[in-house]
Amino acid sequence: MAVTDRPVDAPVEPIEPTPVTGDAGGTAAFRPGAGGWVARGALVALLVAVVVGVPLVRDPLDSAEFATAVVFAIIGLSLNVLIGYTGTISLGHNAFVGVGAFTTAYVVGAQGQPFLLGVAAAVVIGAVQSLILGGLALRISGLYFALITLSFGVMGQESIFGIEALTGGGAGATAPTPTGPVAYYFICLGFLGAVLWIDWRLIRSKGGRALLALRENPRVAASLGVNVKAYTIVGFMVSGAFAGLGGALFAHNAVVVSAQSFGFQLALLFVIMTVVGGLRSRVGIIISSSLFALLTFLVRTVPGFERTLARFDLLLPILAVGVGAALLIGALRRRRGPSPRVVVGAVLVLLGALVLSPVTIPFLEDRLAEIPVLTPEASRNVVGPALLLLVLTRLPGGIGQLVKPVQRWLTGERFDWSIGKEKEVQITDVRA
Amino acid sequence: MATAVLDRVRAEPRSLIGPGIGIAVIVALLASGNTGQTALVIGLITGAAYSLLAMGIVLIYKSSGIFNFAQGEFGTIAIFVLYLLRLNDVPYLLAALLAVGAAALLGLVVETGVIRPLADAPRVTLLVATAGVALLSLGVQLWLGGATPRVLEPAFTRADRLRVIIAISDQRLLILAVVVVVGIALALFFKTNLGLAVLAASQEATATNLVGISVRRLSALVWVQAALLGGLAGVLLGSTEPFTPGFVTSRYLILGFTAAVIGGITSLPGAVLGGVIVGVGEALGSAGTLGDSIPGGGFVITFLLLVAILALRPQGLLGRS
Repeated sequence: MAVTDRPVDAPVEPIEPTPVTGDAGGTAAFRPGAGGWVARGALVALLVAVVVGVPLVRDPLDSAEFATAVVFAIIGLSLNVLIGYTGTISLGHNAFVGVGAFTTAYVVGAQGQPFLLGVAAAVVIGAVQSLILGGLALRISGLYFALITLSFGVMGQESIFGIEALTGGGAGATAPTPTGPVAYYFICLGFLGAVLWIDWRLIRSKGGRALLALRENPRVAASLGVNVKAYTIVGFMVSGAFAGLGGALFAHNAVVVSAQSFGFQLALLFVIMTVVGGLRSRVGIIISSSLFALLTFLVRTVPGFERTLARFDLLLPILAVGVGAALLIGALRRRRGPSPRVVVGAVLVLLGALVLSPVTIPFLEDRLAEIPVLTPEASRNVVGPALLLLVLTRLPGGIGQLVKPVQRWLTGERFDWSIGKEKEVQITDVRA
Repeated sequence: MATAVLDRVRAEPRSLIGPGIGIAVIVALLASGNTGQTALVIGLITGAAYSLLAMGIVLIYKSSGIFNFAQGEFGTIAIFVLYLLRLNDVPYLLAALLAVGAAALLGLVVETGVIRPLADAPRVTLLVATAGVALLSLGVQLWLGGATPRVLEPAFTRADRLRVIIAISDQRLLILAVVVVVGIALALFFKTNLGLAVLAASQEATATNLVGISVRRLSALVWVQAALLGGLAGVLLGSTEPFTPGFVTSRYLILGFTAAVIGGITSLPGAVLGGVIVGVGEALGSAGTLGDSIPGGGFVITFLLLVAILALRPQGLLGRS
């Protein structure tokens, strides 16, 4: 979001000649000068101001939206532990999150216990249910396991979350917000900080390195003495605990939760936001998760956004010209003869240009005018998957790849665009 | 034939266990009175629908190792096209053909736009990608058409010609017939040179390219085939219930997948068998005391079936390890 506000003309510091020992010299010796630190400090201050200041300034009612963004970030990080670290995909994270939500609703809403106890219970239950699934993952892996998680998620939605005694059935369960909306946002932010810290320590520890090794190749990892089973289970439990926490915070934010809140599509949205954020990039996942959570809100509140989306009779031809031109240029670069690509590109450019031009083509333009407005609610359904496909095929590192250079720059290194580029989206599960 | 079966049984007595359990379950269901018999018939009928989806899934998996989550959307697109054409009074048969054609076109677009750029990516990435295609299609349908349920007329309207415990509509009979025909056609396809080339490409893409077979074209061919199959499924199933955006995906896809995996993800007969098993399991779960006490009992049964079968026999019932 605010990341793009980076001052582009940060002063270039002279490189002090340092004695080079081995091949670790050169870049390691780079230290930004005073101006460089000021620029970096300014960006950090700006980010903090946005995260802390905006909810304070805006209508308190909007804080629920911001809290959702934080909760989604926690859920994205939870899924990142599974997909990014253990290399197992979960298509049933709606149930993971739902279990946490209904646990806290039962403990706090139905039993009248304090908020923190509900959250703790959700974390524990989340870890336990994911322990069971993790045990299954040791026997069934790869695509088959993906199907099991999917099945588990749907079963949660269709069956478990519908059991009247535990979840209140169709009417749903209540989980009251413990504080005012603004304070609750900061509580969520605190939990996100805790999750980030645990995630960071996990990866920096021996266990984290073991996890990454077994994602790359469980057999090699096992032969190097990594206890594959134990670490897979650890990964699952951490992810389940995060998901339970996310679910609990989600429930207290939404106040009423029912089985419909945790449908299969939510699981896919979780996967999308994690992959778009860039696997194994905490910052990227936080940005993309909160963006997806806030998309509807942003479309509605950012001035002119909604009206722009409504002008589909303009947007579509522009898009057609853009895509067509990209196809044509790509074909020209490769210097091949006429191919379907060229034809499609030329037709798209021509059609788009014709519609944009003052010449009216009644048939086409009437049809265009009939296209319904892309409502703020619908924009998430359309934009999200489109972004996912774009990331998968064109930008494998996701948003994380884009922010990595900025991250490195902030920690006092030289700005370098090529840092963090990935060749493909690595959901390596060699067991698949 | 009979001696071959006997020889196999003698060599491998354990191969009797599976069919034995199957026959025992069928006998038990038939003997358990009305509930069991009804579940068996309903299961066979709905199972045929799952089989139709499962065969498309098997086709893609067998030829490229991809779990295709967009398979259901090929069907939903066909339903929407058929519905729109019928609103404009296009004759049913022509409209159905055009609808299936639209699905095939979508299949081609998906193959070129998403599958080909990711040809060398890990299979799980491709799973996410096809799920993305399904979601995008769903999002566009919601945007353009809204969430209102619509009613599509069936190809055949008569509902009570045949009665086996319950009345079976002509449309359901048509679905059963199509499952049989498609199953045989696909099994034969894999015996032809083209089919063998597809199998070869899935096992050794480089070697296949080296002997002069275009793996890219084969991939396009298979996706168009699967999309045709998905479109056919959509046209047939769209009239079973009022449909909403993403109808085939939300109603049939997940159980179709379960059917394909239970049957053994590379086996076409397995897909049909898996469909029937899932159908019967679902019917049993929703019937009787279980269905009354747990909401969505049918899904619990299929989930447990899936876990049990994968844990005991990871390659599926008819799959080879």
